[in-house]
Amino acid sequence: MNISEYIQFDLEKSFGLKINREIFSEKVFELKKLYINERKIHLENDIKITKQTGFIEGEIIKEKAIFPFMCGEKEKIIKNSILFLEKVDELDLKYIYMLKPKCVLTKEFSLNQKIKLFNIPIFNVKKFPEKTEDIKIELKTKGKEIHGTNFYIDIGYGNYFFYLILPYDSKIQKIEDLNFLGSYRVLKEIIRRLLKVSYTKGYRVRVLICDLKNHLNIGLKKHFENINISRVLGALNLQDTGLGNEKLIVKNIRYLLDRDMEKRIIKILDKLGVKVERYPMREFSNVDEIVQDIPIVWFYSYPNTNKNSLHSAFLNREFINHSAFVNFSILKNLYREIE
Amino acid sequence: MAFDLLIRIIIVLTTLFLILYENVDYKIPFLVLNLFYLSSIFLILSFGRGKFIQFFTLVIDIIFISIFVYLTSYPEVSLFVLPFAIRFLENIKSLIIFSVFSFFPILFGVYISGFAEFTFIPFYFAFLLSLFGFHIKLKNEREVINSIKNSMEEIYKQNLKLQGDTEKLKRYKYINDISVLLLDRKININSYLVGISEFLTNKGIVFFDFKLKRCLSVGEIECVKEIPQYLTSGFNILKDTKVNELTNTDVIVSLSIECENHIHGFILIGYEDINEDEIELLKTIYATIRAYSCS
Repeated sequence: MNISEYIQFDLEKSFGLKINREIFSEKVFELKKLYINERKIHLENDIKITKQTGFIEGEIIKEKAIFPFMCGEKEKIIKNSILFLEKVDELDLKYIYMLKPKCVLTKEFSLNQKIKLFNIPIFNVKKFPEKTEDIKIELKTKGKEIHGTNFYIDIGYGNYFFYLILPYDSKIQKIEDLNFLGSYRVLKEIIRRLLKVSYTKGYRVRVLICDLKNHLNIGLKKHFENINISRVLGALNLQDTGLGNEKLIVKNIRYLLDRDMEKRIIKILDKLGVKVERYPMREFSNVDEIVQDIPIVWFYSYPNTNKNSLHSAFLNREFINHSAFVNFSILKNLYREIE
Repeated sequence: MAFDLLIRIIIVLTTLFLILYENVDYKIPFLVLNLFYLSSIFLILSFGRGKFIQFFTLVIDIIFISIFVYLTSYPEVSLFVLPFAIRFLENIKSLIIFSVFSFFPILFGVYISGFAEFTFIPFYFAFLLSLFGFHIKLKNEREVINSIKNSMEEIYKQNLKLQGDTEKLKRYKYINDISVLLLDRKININSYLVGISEFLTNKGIVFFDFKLKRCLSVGEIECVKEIPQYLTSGFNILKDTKVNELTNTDVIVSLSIECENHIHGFILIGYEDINEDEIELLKTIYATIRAYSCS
């Protein structure tokens, strides 16, 4: 049983709800060959890209690392250039995504999560080309369709929606993975409480389990393309929740919460007697960019370097219950005056 | 399910083989009985695998095996009850119940042989003994697994805690790296503020530059001209003041850029709420800015 089948089977069996399915596909490009100054370079990573590109030419910028200030200072220069970086890690990926250089060459590529699709081609090279003045990069790519499945369930009544998002990736994740099963159990516990304790009043909760998380969240993007955003109040992102060390993410590519909402969340957490640290996002995710203006409440497990590689045997019931309790309380109390 | 059905299929195939090659009466009814047995087991198993269903299927199996023993007159067929033991290894109670139940077809087999065939009785008891031995081994291993799982949980929790501590130091390192660039004049103060803003949990930063007579803002706090008149030099955490009102922010941390009592500007960092770690980090930033403004 693959992960998508498991989700549908398990949710139907556990709650007997009608589950809507969205099947989608997207064309991406697989890098086949790379030539730098007509010399073939061995490709070490298998990251697919969103755009097909032939030749890449541009100014070369060598940096030890990407610093956030570059987003302000060197943004225009980097946009049209080829970036040479000593090392690319989780943090750098966010800035590469935002700065959009033509391409990135790096000696070391170390990520916690397996990113399988990216908007910018990133190559591992053992050493940088000596002559950098007249560099010419040639890419040979092959188009490929990737398919995914989204699931969504509506719980409660009302014209407005509050989203409960769980991104997963059917291409990479397995059912017994810690980061899938942890978040999935939190989601199930929240659904159970919604059904057994009470619905949210004044607005309905849409549970969205969206595919291709590690492929730039294509599933989420496809779902939100057909949604009237003016009816969406907010979203609760459950990605990597329930694994311990939860932090309330306040900013990533943009500020995730508006001031009023942040104040309310702090108030709710104070009332519950729960201490959650607020933190800027330090790993790559483009969820907030996709959902645009919708505020996102996200209790993200950070720092937790092993969450992407561990087996679900490491799951802790205590963490899951705590996360479900906090998330459910916020879901219920965030828009109380709408009642 | 597949495993359970396979065992039954082997039983049915054996009895069919006996029907075909031995002189057995009522061949057609026997065939129908076999099919009925298989389909009924399939139907019962499709309901799930609860404790009750397991014992219910065992009773049906025992009845049918006894019928097969009677119809084929082969006492050895009664030994087919043994493979079902695999489902009753979980606890000692169900294993004992299985032993009691499964003894009936064996006894029936002895009766069918006219009390002439006894060899499979010691075989049956030896098998049961080995099952009990296996059960004890399984129990011990489960205890070991449970204790490993408990320590895994503990180690995981400890690891998370240590990672949290490391993260605090990492933030200092990031801030330090950018501070070095600022002090070496490789970047200007504007870039520095954009840089630190990424590592803090603030809602925005405002920079009043008196030298160039301008105001820059990052994030959600806007430049309001009246603010500097309410500010004092040094490192201040402002709550419920006029500045908070003007910026519509609960907590404002103000840092002055000054050298020899001459103020060059102010940096305001806005928060909805602030914790001790963040204050410590801001004090480091303030030290950098003071060093920068006098260098």
